[in-house]
Amino acid sequence: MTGARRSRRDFVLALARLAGAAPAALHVIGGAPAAAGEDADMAILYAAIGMEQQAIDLYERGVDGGMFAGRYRDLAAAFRGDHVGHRDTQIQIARERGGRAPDEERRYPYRPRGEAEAWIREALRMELAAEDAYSTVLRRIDDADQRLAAAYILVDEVQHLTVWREVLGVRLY
Amino acid sequence: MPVSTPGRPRSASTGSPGSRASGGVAQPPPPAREALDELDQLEADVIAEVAAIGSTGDEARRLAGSVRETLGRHRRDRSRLRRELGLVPGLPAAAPEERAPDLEALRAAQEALVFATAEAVGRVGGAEGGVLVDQLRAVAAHLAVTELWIEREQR
Repeated sequence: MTGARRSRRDFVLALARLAGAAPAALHVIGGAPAAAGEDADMAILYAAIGMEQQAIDLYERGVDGGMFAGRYRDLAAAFRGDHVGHRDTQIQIARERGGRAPDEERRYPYRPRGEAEAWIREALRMELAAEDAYSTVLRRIDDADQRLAAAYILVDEVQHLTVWREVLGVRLY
Repeated sequence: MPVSTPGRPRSASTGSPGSRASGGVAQPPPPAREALDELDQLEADVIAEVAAIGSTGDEARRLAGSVRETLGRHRRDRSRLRRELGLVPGLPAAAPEERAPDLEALRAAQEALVFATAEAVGRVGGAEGGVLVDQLRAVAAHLAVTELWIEREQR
């Protein structure tokens, strides 16, 4: 694993821990071999719900605090809406499987220092972590419906990521 | 919102050429094979659209080259996946049909490919499905780039 990749994975794991992920989910998100099965799938689901809450919180604070201006405000508000949809879809799946979604709302653990660009960079970092986490767990989820939901969520994460990259002038192709 | 959030797709199995007779009785194709056949078809559609766009300027040519290269690699990886899953090989890739440049048609073709790839990820799990997860990331990024391009032209 390269240094950059390791540091990205550490960041993903830090977010997952702060999102309240159980050890089984942390193992999977961290890319370690883990026992597949219903319990592991449920642990992954709860971790994903916590990470979605963090994403909602970051965008909410940025939008409410006026940190995203003009077009960026519209983007941040739309992306927040997407993350609300991701969280609610996964809560629904958890309930259908007899689980109970975590009550506690998770806050995004880092506060960008500075103005709009710092917030966009933080949003990019968070979306990258989400893309990484979903890409990793998609390889481990046993349940086909849960996998399908995660696949659609991954599409959104990639779109968010691509938009922020373009805003920051990163070459896309 | 410039980047559309994908909704639920139409059925991925519509029009799939998977059904074939076996012992005189039509057998539905295995889900994984059906999904991979559909990806081959939709990918060919994207390649035809992107080839048309590639003739419209330098930036478009660079984008078209990058998309074609990526999709060519995806097809090779799926051929390997078919072998690992014990499926019959896919049909050889046809030469792209000639089309008029149309960004919206490209976007629609890419969106169909993204939805079908997501469905395929749902059907093919395990370590084998990892190939399709990587492909999903790539085609979703291509779609987002085209949507940004359309948005830029509209501004």
